[in-house]
Amino acid sequence: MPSTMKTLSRLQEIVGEANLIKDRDRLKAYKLDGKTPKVVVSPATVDETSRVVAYAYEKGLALVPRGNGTKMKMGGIPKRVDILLSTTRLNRITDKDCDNLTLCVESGITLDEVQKTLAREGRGYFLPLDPPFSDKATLGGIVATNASGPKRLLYGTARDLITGMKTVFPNGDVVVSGGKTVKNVSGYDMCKLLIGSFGTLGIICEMTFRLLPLPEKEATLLLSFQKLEQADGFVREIISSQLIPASIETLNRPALDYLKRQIPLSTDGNYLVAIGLEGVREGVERQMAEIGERGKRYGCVNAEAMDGEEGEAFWKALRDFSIWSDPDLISLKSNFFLSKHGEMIASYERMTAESGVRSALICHSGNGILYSHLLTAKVSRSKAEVLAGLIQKMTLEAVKNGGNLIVESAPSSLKKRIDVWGEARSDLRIMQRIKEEMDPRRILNPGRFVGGI
Amino acid sequence: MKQEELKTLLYDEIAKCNRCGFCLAVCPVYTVKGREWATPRGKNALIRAIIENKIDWTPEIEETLFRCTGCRLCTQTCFPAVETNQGVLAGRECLVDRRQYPKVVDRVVEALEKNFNISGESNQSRSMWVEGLGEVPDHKFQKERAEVIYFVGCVAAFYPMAHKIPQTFVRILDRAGVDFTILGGEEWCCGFPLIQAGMKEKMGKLVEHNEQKVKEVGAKAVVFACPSCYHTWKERYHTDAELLHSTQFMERLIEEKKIAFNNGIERKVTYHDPCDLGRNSGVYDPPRNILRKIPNLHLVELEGNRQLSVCCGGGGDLEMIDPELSAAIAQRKVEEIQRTGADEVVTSCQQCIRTISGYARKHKIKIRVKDITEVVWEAMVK
Amino acid sequence: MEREKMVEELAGIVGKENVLSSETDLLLYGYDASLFRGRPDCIVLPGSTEEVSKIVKFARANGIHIVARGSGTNLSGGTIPTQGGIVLHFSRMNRVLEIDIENQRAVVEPGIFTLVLKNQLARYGYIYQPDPASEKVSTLGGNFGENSGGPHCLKYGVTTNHILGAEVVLYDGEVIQVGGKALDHPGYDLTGVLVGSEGTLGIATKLILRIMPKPEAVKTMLAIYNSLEDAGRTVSAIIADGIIPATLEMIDRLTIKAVEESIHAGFPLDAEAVLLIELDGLKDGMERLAERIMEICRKNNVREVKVAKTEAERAQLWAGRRGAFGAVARLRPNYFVCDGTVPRTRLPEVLTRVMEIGRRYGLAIANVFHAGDGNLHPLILFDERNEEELRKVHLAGSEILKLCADAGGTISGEHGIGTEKMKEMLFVFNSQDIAAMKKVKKAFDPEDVYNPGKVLPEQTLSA
Ligand SMILES: Cc1cc2nc3c(=O)[nH]c(=O)nc-3n(C[C@H](O)[C@H](O)[C@H](O)COP(=O)(O)OP(=O)(O)OC[C@H]3O[C@@H](n4cnc5c(N)ncnc54)[C@H](O)[C@@H]3O)c2cc1C
Repeated sequence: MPSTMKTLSRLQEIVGEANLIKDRDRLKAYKLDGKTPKVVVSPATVDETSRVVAYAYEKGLALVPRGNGTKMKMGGIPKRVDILLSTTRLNRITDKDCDNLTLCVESGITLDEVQKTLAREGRGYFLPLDPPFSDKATLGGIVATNASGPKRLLYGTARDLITGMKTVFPNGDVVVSGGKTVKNVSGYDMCKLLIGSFGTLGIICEMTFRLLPLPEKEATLLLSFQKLEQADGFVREIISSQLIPASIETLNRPALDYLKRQIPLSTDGNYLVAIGLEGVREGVERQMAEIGERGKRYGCVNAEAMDGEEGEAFWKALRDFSIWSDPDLISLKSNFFLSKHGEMIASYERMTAESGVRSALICHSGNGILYSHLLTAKVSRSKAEVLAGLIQKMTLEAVKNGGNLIVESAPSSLKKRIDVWGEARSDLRIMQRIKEEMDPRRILNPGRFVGGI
Repeated sequence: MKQEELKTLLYDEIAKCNRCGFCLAVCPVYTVKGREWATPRGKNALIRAIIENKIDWTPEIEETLFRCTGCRLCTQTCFPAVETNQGVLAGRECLVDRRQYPKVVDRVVEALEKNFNISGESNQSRSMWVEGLGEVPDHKFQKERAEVIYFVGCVAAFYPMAHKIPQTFVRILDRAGVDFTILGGEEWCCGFPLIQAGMKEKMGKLVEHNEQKVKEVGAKAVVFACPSCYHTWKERYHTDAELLHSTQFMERLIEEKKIAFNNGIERKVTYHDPCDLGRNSGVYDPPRNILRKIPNLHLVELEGNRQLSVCCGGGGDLEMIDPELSAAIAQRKVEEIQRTGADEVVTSCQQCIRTISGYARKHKIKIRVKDITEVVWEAMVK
Repeated sequence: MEREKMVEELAGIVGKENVLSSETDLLLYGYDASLFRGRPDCIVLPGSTEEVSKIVKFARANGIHIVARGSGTNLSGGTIPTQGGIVLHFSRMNRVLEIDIENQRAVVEPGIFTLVLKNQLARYGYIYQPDPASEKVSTLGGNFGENSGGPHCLKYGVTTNHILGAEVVLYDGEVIQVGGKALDHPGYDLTGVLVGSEGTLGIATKLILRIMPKPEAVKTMLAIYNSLEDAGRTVSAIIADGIIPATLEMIDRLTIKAVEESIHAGFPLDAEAVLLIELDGLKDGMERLAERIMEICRKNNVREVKVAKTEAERAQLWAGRRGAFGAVARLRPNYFVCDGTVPRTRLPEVLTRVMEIGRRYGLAIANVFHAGDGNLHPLILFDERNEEELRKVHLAGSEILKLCADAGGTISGEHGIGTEKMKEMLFVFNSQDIAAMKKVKKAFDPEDVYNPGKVLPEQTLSA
């Protein structure tokens, strides 16, 4: 490894002194699973980014990309952390073409900022992604971690919305993939590879998204049920109907109790099903009425309709459920077959109860994705043991139901004991091969991704 | 046909094939075989390659060209309407010219040259089926002069399984008071098998003979229950007489109130359009109109009906050349019929009946197959 | 390896009847729906994943290339065995393995025709959304290979948005699962990379598809124009007004003529262009949206808007659209399909320039395309047998793609790069971009067993 001094001065040349942090105390704020980077750099352009990466590649320095840090607890414990590359200064909107429903932005801009700009544009547009912490999360981070939210039911995820990207590859190459038009089969779909690649293949610098016009009307319907079977039956009926809700979320009691502390809610059932509706006015109104009716048939004990700001406050509280700054928060994401919805929730409730852990469960019911937030105080050593066992059991349960489990957030003491990316599958071999080809020196986020990539 | 003629005759036609492959989805032979040679696209490509001297007449080309039912569903669903079957038949003619064709064909040709029918029996036995009728008029339906000639066709005349068709048809004509005759031993094969065999130049004698007979009888119309005879006459014969398929003729008799139905038949039936009658001759409505006139009879359509009817597997003499392939196609037809939930499938072609019921019998599948004449007669006497 | 030996070994795996190697077969598997030709060493029709795996192992061990083939309807030469080898024809692996309504997934073998699956789903009231015009005959394996699109992809996305997982045989015969019935599996999105990889990365032996309840209501309109530009402007005006219809297809005068000669679809012969606009979804509010669309059409000088009154009328309009490519062969024997995309707002201008290119080369051009996506399909009409004309066609085609690239679009929206457009890849990508793709190829298939010489241009190897 080159001397730190030399590295610092070289990096400083590239990004300028003001955009480089080398001060010990300040660096602590960027600690990653206990590992402090030697330097934080914030390039302002793709070219600067490319030069930083090329330098790291040349010298074999481990480089960790970072947006605003809302997902820094995700991933395995890094093998090395030399340079932390912050994308926050790459924060421009480079091409706003609402007539063509496309938007090109740099990776360091926050989603909320983009949404605000788009809403003011002409008849009003939006980028149909609603991941947690949209006020802080940068688009680069959202895309690199493939973060999503309740509305993915209607709009899909980054893989459905991104048409093009500009990425700095580990060797410093600036690589353009895809383009501006929604349809594009020129060459391999490199965007798919980069979405969710967790900063292990390249630094995403710019992305082109599909936009949509703002919906005419939005509404929210909250239905409470006493029993899980009722909520499950109801949810599955809606999913298989011709209705087109934007989101269907199922929450258990602890999740609900927690939410109630954030926002006023009248519900008092054990399970809450929250349905988001948006689109053409008549369609929203008809669905409100019909879904309410269907809810009754499944024994809904309380129904609450919300619109406008009230509804938005509810969804925000729900999306931002996990407190990103809490160092001991444990958040798990499980995927599973749609039909196993009730089974998954029931078994997770049982398993966590058996381990003496309170768990707030929030499920993207229409997508087969379940978030479990284990509500524990400080994680002691003995507790870490118990939790590791629990997570192992929950992982097997998800695997049994066709999915897997990712630990999205956990203290390092727990991470050491488990594989945060769940059970390895037969495709790991190719993932490793891809990493090998793209980043033979393993400089990008080493150790943080699936299978130790 | 000489290879050189292919170019003048067919190059432009075949050149319209852009290999889009839409024909793959409909071709009954490809559906069974799943190999490119079986596709109409492939057949076009081979003829084209021959024309362009890119390939020789390999044994596989012979095999390929003799595996086409002539159903023309490919052309029907082809947007530039490439006439693949024309290429196939011309290709067969070239193969014949090179004496490179399936040996079974010789047997048929021999039979035709010797006896003027495909069966190998003496042509005098053409009216065997009349015996089975019980009481018949003295002339046994053979008159010197008549308004109408009923041209029975080889299969119906010689294969006992198909005898029911002429038997019921003459009863119908008789009861309707039609002045008609059959030609008996003077009916010669229409020539269809020769066209399929790639030997159409040999059919002149047959055509002339039959045309002459029409003149002698002084008939104003010739009626056929066999779609292939009908189609061949329509395409290749010159006569002033009106040419009608039995369904067209019966429809007319019903309109003229010469055929009447009483109580009708309580039954759910489906109708299979024979390729040579439907797609290749454009006769779709008469059989349906007839069936709809029968009280209580409920007609449900097959998934592939009218222009899109799927061949039974018996077309283009395929049964003779490759019985196994023919049966495999029939199997799909039988399955399609079963999916309609009908009690009975009605058609208007002895070959379709033969192929469909032959397959069903061999595989012990319960399925009732009837010619439309049988259904009409049943409704007349009930 | 000698052909005889190869055939014998392969016959040992799949049975003699499933290995083809006659002169005629080699000719017949040398083409697809593109203008290119090649010649394989033999053709194998596998019956199972296991057989595919064995064939691949054999091929790799002996340095033989493998080209996967569905129905061979791709338009870019993706199935042309340009360097010989084995063509794997999937016609025998054509079963629907599972229609899993509760999980809203279907699992199929790659050789099944797209429409066959869709017809089976219809019995459950379900739909698999991608609808290439060739769906009647294209296989899902081919759709996977090309990332095919279709009219309804405007609203629902293309094939890649509907394939959630696959069983894939790697270059060394190992069988892996990518993605699955559940969403968001951890790790790289290999399914996403494999879709559209034109058989160069891996061979799919099973596909997991997203299916959904069919929409409650559909409304189909035919907007008739006296000018191509007006039709083009309508397209961007509809989108800009915030309406995303299910389809927004454009068909021009020359195509209309050809289609109407083929089948009577109901397109007026004297129109310069028609738009086929379909709305689907909830019935509520659909009338109002339709009215808004018609208003936009009127503002853009539409001559008339006809609404399909019956399902039969609707089917007829779509039959006309789907048959459009084929039908133009009535005008001249052959057509060459360009497949560029441009940002919607550039459509009118680009269309005009496309026609200019046609005039300059003295070639007639018909247009029928996915206007809502900005996916152009200029059909250049010609006679393949005329070499001079053929040469011009390639030049004009390339110019049209350049035009699209320069207008901010790309050189292929749905038909793939194949053998045909490798050179044009450089209109949109530089050598670094292509070098990155080459790494993906190398990660999946380091020995270049699969479909060699496709997609990625050779000359940038050094980069
Ligand atoms: C008239 C016409 C209309 C068309 N309309 C459209 C349209 O509207 N939209 C559209 O997108 N396309 C269209 N196409 C193009 C074509 O039909 C599509 O590309 C289709 O998906 C190809 O399917 P196929 O089964 O013929 O595949 P093939 O042509 O056989 O193969 C296509 C590619 O997929 C690969 N492949 C095949 N099977 C596998 C497998 N099992 N595993 C991995 N790779 C595999 C092949 O190697 C090849 O690269 C049209 C074509 C024609 C001729």
